[in-house]
Amino acid sequence: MSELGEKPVRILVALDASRRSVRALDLAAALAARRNAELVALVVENVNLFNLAELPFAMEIDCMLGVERKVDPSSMMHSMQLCISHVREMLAQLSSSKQVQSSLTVVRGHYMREAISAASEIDVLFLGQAPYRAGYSLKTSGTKEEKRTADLQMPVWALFDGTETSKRALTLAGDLAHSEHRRLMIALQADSGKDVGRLRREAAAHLGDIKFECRGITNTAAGIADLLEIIKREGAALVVTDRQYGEKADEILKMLLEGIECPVVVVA
Amino acid sequence: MSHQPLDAGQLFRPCAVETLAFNTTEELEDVDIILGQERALDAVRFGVGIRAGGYNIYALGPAGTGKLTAIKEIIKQEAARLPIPLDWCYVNNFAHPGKPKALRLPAGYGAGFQQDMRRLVEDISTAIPAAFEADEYRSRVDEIDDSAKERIADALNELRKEAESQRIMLLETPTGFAFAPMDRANEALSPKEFKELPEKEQKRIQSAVSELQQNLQDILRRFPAWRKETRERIKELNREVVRFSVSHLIDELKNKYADFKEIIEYLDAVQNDLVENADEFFPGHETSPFAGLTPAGAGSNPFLRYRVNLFMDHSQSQAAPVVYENLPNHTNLIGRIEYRAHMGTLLTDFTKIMPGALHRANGGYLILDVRKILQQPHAWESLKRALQAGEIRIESLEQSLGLISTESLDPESIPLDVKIILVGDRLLYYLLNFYDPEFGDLFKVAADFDTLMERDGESTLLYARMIGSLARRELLRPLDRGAVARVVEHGAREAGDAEKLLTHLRSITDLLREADYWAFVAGHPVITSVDVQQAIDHQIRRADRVRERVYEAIQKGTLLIDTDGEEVGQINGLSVVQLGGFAFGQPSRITATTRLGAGKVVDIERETELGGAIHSKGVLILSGFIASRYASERPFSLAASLVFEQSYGMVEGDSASLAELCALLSSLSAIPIKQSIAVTGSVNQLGRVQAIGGVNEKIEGFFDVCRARGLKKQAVIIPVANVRHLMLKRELVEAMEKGLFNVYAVEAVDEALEILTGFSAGQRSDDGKFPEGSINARVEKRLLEYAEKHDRRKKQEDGNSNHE
Repeated sequence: MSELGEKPVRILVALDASRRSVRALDLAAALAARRNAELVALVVENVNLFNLAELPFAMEIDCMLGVERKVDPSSMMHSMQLCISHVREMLAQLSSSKQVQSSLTVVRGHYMREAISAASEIDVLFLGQAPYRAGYSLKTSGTKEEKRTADLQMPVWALFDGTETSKRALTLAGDLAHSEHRRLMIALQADSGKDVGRLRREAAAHLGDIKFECRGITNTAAGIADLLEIIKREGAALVVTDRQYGEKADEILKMLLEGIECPVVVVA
Repeated sequence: MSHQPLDAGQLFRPCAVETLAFNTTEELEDVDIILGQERALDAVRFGVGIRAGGYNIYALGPAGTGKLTAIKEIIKQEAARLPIPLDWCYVNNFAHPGKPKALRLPAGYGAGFQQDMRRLVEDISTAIPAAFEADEYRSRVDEIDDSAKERIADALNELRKEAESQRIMLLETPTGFAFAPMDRANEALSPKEFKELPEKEQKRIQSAVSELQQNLQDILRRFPAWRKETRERIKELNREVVRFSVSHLIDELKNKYADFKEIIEYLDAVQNDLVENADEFFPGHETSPFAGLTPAGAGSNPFLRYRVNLFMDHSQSQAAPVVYENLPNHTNLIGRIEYRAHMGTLLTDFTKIMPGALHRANGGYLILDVRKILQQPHAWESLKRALQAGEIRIESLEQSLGLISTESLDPESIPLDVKIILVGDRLLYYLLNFYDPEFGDLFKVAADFDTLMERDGESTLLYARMIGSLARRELLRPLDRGAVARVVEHGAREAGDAEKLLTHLRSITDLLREADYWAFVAGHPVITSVDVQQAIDHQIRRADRVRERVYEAIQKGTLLIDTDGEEVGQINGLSVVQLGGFAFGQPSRITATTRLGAGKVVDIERETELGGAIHSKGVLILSGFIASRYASERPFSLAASLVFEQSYGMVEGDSASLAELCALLSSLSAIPIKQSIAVTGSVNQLGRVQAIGGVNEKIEGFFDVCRARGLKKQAVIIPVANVRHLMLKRELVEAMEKGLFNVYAVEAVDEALEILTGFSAGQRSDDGKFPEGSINARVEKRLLEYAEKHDRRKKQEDGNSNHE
């Protein structure tokens, strides 16, 4: 990934073909428009689904009707193509409306692996994998306006451990929170209480006038689990982090993606 | 045979000014302007007082008699004694929105209740959204929501774990879920890898996948029920929130209206509806796009259905209502449901129910003009239906007639307790009595208003006071006693009877107004007899165009009327022409011809269908008289023709029968009739002369014609029974005083014949014969000749017949 400045040159939004997140695509397009950046959409076809489709006993249970349906490679291919054409249409619309240069790439593989791999030359990676259907909200109360208001109350989260890359993530989180008119929440990844104070001061100094709130978590995988609990309580519209997790990056990002119901943005 | 004309004093009964003991009507006390109507007023008082069903009133009499004024006066007094009726409100019926409920409250409470409900709605419209916006509420909803989510996630996760324990993974496809066997890297096995597995393992996997699929289906099938359960929990939470938010507000009202069971029930219904429809009160709740199209029409604001339609408000009433409905159509009587146009449809709700006259008069009195109500389609039927049912049911005419079947409101009926007073003419009363079998049951009291009162000293004074009261009421100048006397005389003349006075209020008022105008023109401070006379003269002048033309035609000889000389079989009859409110007398030439015949008098008017039934009856009667008097013992071999010369319209009435008889007898006797005399009167079969109508106009009509040609002792013969009706105009009386004109009153046809011919009529002597040369003798002789000729001809015809 290249250095993230005021104008990142490339933004990648990685979408799972079968669990695509429209919101991630929206956010990525909006950021690309503000930064005059190129938007690259990567659609990942889950290779496991194609393996499944070739099995002789492959069956699918319709999530709406609960009925069994035979699955074969051609029907799976057809479904995937529908998903990809849908993404292509959305991307074209966004490119046109936001005056953004964009491109679309389709690969078959494992979502997280392909996304991280494709992001090597990218400044900002939007991970757009929709939550499992089992997690869909069941709330029956409230109007559209109310839901919109409730959604706007969801903050933008940034993970901050004081490193330079996490500062870039903090900068982007501040930018996204401001443009979306959202609160900024910072998860301070500290090893001790003393570090929390220091990180808070550093974040304040880095953000200048931007207001924020902080929550402290440990700088471990367990800390990510704690963060998921906090987000579950307080909500999140977006989580911005850097790629500080090394070999465990895939696993931790996967944890984040599956633990929350919002896109995750990874800053190089 | 000497017949004396009437004295001039018998032609006009003046009102002696000296009997009026006042200078102007200013000095007279007010009196009830409705005079001489004791019978009718007693009936009205009885009808108004009795509260039993069906004792509604029909006030019958000519228009302008003051019926309405009298009735309103009586009812006003009676209404003050009655309690003020209940207030009525229409409110939403939550169980059946198409059938709004009617709530009753003591007078004056309705407005307060409406205001209380308005405040309640204001309070709950802020209290409920505030409760839903509270963090506590959001937290509880989130708890329910999360718990439901977790339940589903747990079920799927459990299944996922179970699958993973069998080395099978749960995959999410674009449209659902699927299971696939896992490799060591926890990825789905490729087909090649699967084929390389031992057959036993393959079977195990297939079996496990099949079982997992079954389990997944079971879980998915439970999702809708779980979602429903969650929705129910949230709904119940909403109910609790609303119940908590509104109960204390509603309890306050229930305490206030604790004595009114209907109100308590309604408030309970309001609370239940609020609780059951709690979802509608979320801030910014999105209603169905069709919400405004529902019959309730509450539109997008769910609180509107808790409004109160204050249907009848008696908060300002001081007495029971007295209502006069000027346009008594179906809608104005029983109320209506209004609609508003919205996107090409018509919408309504309980707030658009509007009262009719029956509602407004409920608990009091409703006055209706019977002619107007009968002219309005189905209004009469609607009124009767309400009275019979004892309740007012609002439904459109189209619905009553079954012309439309679209859904509309069916408001709860309101009990009816009203006294109806119909005002109308006599003809309609008798027609309704005859043709409407329900009329008698519903209108048991007839108040019959007369237009006449007796004329004597006491009543004349009362009449004077009434004139004074009318002048004050109409803000006119006072009348001096001369003017009052002239009004009294005119009242007698208009009554057509010197011993009666006209009590037709409108005519008297009009005369007073016009006299006041002429007093103003003349600069008189009070109305004088000259002003009254001028008013009378101008009333006549404005209306007498036709009379002038008729008299002009007579004067110029276009209409042939002789006023001197003598003619056989020709006589001047008198008729009255009524044009609107003006009547005048017109002389008509009647001629008779006689010849041998079969005993039939031909009434040419009847033969040409220009004669009415009564006129024909008169002709038959005189025919019977001639036959019985002159040909009782021999064949009546007369053929006669009678005609009103130059008459081109209908002739009706029998007042010319005396004249016709005289003309016939003149023709038979060949004795000429004096053309200077006109005759009016009817005769019976015995030759007695009977009273007729319009005697004053008839005499004056002939007088005017004679005066134009020069008065030469012309005369009019009238029945004795009509002498009491004479109120002739001043010029005629003066002419009579000077001996230039005469009026004779007769009791029998013989008297009239003698005056008309100068011959003796002759009385039958003991030998059964009339005196030689008398009129009757000549007539009898002529008829005998006819009978003999008839016998000879018959014998001759019989002989010819036998010879053949």
